[in-house]
Amino acid sequence: MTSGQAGSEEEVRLTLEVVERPCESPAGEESPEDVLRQCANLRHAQAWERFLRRFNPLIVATVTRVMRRYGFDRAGLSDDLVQEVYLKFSAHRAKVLREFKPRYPGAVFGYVKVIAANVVHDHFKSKVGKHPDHSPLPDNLAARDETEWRILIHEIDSLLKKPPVSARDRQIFWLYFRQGLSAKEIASISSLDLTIKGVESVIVRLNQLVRKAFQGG
Amino acid sequence: MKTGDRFGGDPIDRLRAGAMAHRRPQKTRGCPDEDRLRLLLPGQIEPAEAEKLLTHAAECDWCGAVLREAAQDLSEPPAREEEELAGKARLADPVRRQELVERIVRAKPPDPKPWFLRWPAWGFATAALVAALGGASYEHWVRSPARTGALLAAAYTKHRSMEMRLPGTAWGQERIQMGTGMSSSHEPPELLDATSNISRGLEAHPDDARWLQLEGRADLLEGKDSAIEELERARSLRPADATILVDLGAAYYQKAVKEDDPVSYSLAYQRLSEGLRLKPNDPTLLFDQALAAEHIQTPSVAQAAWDAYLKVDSTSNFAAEAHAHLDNIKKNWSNSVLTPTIQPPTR
Repeated sequence: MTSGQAGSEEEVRLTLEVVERPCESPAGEESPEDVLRQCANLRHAQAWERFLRRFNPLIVATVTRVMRRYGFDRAGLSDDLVQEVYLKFSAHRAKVLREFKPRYPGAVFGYVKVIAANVVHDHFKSKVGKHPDHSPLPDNLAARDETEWRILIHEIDSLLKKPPVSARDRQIFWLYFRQGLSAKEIASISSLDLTIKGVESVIVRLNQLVRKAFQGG
Repeated sequence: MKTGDRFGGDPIDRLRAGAMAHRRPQKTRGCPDEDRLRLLLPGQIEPAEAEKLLTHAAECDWCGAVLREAAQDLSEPPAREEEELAGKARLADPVRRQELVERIVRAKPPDPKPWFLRWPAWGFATAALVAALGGASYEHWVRSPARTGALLAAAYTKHRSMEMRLPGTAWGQERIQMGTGMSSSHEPPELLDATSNISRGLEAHPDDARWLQLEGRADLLEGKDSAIEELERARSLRPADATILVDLGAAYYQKAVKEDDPVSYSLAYQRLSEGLRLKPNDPTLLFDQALAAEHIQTPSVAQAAWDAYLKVDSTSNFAAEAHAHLDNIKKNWSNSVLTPTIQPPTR
């Protein structure tokens, strides 16, 4: 193993530690948000070097993961797309960096991952004309007639549009029961500002509400 | 809950089973930009827009799938195998990283000095000759606001992603699959060239209304909300420029479509009306104002707006669109005397 490789593995480990504990920056080191802010100045070579060193493992992992959705797993393509991610960050006078809003500690990691994922999706949609497989989930033997299902959705939705159900709780209910997101996946949507337990609590409550309403007929 | 219960069985179980079997991911005209949907995850979307995006994704099987996959891809920490790949990636090599940093840092805007001061003294004789032949002005022309505007017009026509017209654009077939704009890699080469010119132009002239307008127009073509802010700034610098008002009206209209926001429809109508006060017979303004009128005015006002457009253009492809809108208004109006405002036309 070369010293470069050894250094890389150490960097991977450090970055992943930061991702797991995003609020903490190694002592004496600037926060990732600061690094991002400094990179908005495109002439700040040192800030860009720190940005690449710090975020590259995260970007590579994200790019690789999203590429696999399209059935691609080639290292050369992954390297090219990673480079495209950095060019996206620097394009238009680093507009993407300037637009970042640090709404909560560690938001920067989610932001970097989303920008990296968007670059990969855009690449496949435009250059290859592919979409990830959004086909329906496998048939379930218990499934009834579609019309009946749509009537059921309509009736449940009418119930959920009434107080005391909030708009946010209604969104969570449908994301869970219709779109198939897990409680953990819903909690990862920072705009909802809920923990996994918070999401689960909403689901349990609305589940009971719906069952009670239908039993009560 | 009598109606639903007539089929019997636990409603939640039936709901889940139906979702498994009948989920139909299909992108529609009303679907938001997928890049913005994913930005819900790190909380980068303003609350009002986030609310609309989440409500849409909860009900739309296509956007629900986009959000589900994004959550799966982005919420899990990297797996061991991905960590290993990261360690072997091209940019894990410090030398390669340095090369990329230099590439990013070196991509500087042009020297703000005039071109003739940047040329070394020994080159003046040659420059004079080239200039005499017209070559020296080529680069200047390629990066000029006029040429950049023409590039944006070409991008609009080739990849038209909105109903509204923009200044100086020829007709193009609307591509509904592009959603509300063009996301980065969908961008046609003309748009990429234009944005490069705009970056250079704004570096050298950050308060130039022409460059700000072009930046806003490029963002509008890319479906970015920042278009409004940039165009409002351009408008504050040149309030009597009708072309800025066209762009601004179109930007508010696109926001209104994306967010189903009546206030933005109203602002679009206002800006376009201001433009028409400056240029009463401008076909682009008349066309766009008629589109906005359909959403906030009575059918008679919208009909009058399309009639006004057809007086100045009755034969182009845009005129064919105007006729289609007019027919829709007449049909809806006669079918629904109780509805004061008409629904957006479907094409």
